[in-house]
Amino acid sequence: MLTAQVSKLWVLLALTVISLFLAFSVGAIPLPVWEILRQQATDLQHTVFFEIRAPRVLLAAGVGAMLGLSGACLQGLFRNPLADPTLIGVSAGAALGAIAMIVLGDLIDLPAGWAAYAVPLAAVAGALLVTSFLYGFAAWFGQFSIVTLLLVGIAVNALSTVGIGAFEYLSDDRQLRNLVFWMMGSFGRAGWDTVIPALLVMSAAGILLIRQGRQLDLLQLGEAEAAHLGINVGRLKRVVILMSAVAVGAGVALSGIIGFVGLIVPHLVRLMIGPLHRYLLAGSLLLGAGLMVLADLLARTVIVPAELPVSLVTSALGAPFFLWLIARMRRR
Amino acid sequence: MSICLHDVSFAYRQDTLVNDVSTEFAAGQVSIIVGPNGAGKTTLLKLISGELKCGAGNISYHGRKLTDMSLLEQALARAVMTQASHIVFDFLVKDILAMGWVRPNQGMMKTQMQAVIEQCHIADYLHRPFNSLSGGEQQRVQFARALLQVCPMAPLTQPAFLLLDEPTSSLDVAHELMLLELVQDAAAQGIGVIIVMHDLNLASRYADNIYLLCKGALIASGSPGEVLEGPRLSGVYGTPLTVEHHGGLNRLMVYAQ
Repeated sequence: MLTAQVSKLWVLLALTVISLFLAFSVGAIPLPVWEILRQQATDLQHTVFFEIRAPRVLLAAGVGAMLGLSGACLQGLFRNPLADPTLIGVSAGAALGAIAMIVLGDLIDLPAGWAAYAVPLAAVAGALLVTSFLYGFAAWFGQFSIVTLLLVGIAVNALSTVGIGAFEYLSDDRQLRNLVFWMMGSFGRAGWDTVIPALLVMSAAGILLIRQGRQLDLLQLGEAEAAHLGINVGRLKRVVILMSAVAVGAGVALSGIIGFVGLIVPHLVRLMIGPLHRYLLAGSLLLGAGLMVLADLLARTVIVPAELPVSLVTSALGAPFFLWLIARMRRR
Repeated sequence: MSICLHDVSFAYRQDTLVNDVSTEFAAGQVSIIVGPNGAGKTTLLKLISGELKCGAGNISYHGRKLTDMSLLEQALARAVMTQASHIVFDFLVKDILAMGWVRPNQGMMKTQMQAVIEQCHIADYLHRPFNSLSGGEQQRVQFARALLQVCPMAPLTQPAFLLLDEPTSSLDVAHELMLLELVQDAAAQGIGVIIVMHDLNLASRYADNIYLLCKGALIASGSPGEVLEGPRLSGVYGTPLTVEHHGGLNRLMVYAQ
C-alpha cells in the first residue's frame, strides 16, 4: 500500500515534468528545448527562452506548487475541505498588502536595496494577517463549520475589496496600471530579478510545510487527541499558518490573485492517493505546479498574439469543480 | 508502578473543579472514576493526561513528574481515548489505527498492529473508510488505536496507562460489555486503565478499584465493596440508592429505590 502511494507520486512527478517541457516548447514562438540546451538554436530562440519563457514557466510552476501545497495544509489545519487560500481571503489579504505598498510605498522613503522587496513583504504580511485572524476566529468558536469558514471568507474578501477600491481611488495613472495587474492575475511580467528570490522563499516555505505531513494526519483526530499522541499542536499551527502565508504571499506578490488552484488540487490528489497528508502534501505540490503551468500555457496560446489572464482560466475550470464539490458534500 | 496524585487542585475562573485530590492509580488494574454530573471526573482525567495543568499539587508517573516529561515521553506513558470526535476526511480504518504508533522504530509497527487488530477484533473492516463504520465499530477502532500507542513491548519498559473518558457512552449493551472485556485484557497485560464512567453496576463488575468523586473532591476510593455503600451513594447522588450483593452473579448491584 505504501509503495502504491509512492508510485502514484512518481506518476505525478512525471506528469509535472511533461507539463514543464510542453510549456517551455509551446508558445507564440515555438522553441526547440533540446537544441537550446545544447546551444544549437538561433539567438532569438535562445533569448526568448532564457529571458521570457523560462522565468515565466518557472514562476507559474512555483506559484501553482505553493497554492496546491498551502491549500492542502490549510484544509488539514482547519479540518475543512473548502479551505482554499483564495476562497477564505488569504490571497486577497496578500493582494491588499501588495497594493497598499505600491500606492503608499512612494510616500515612504525606502532605502534603494529594500524597495524591490517591499511589495512582496507587504503581500506576505497581508496574507499572514488574514490567516491569523481566521485562525483566531476559528479558535474562538471551537471549530469552524464549513459554512462559517466560507462566510468569513466572503467577509474578508469584501473587506479587502474595499481596501483595494480605496487604494485605486488614491492612486495615480502609473500606480493604477500596476493595480489592474493584481486584479487580473498573470505571469506575464516574470523576470529573473524577482522570480529567483521568490522561488527561493517558496522552496524554504515548501520544505517546512511538507515536513508537517504526519503531524497534520494526527491532527485529524482532534487537537487534544493529537497532543495526546505527542504533537506540539501550537507549534504546528504556527508553522502552517506562517509558512502558508509566506508561500501564498510570495506568489501573489508576483502574479496577483489566482483562484481555485488551492481548492481543486488537494481534492484531485485525495481522489488519486487518499487523504494521508504524508503523501497528499507532496502530491498537491506536484499537481499544483503541473496544472498551473498548463493553465498558463492555455492562457498565453489560446488567442495569440494576445493573452488571457491566467486567473480566468483557473476560475473557468475551478468554479464548476467547486459546485460539484458542494453537491457531493450535500449528498453525504 | 503507578500514577500518583499529590494534593491536586484545579480551578477555572471562580469554580474549583478538582479540590485537593491525593490518590494513586496502579498499573495492571482497572480503576474506574464515578460520580454525579459536574463532579470533576473528566477534569481529573484531563489533569492526569496532561491536557490540563494542575493549579496546585503535582502528578507523577512511576515517580517522574508529568511536567518534567516531554510530549513524546507523555505519549509513550499514556494513551487517551476521548469521546468520539468527527473525522472530516475519508481515512481508512488502518490509517486511523496506525496513527497510534508514536514510536520511532517503524519495523516493530506491523507485528504490534497485527496483535492489536486480533485482540480488538477489527480485522474485518481494516480497509473500509472510518466514517462508514457504526458508532460501536468506530469506538472499537479508537480503542485499538489507544492500545497500539501503549502496547507493552520487549524489552519491557515501564507499564503504560490507558485513559478512557466514557468509552461506552454511544454503545449498546453488547458492545459495551465487549469493550470492557478488551479493557480487562489490557489490564491483564500489565497496562493501567483509568476509566471515567457513569454506570455504577458496570463499575462494580469491571473495576479493581473505584474512585468516587463529588464536587471535585475524592469522597472514597478502594475496591467496589469498600466504596459502593448505599448511604454514601445516596448522599453523593442526592437520591435514595440501595446496594445489594447479587448471589447469582456474585457482585454488588446498585438500585434506585
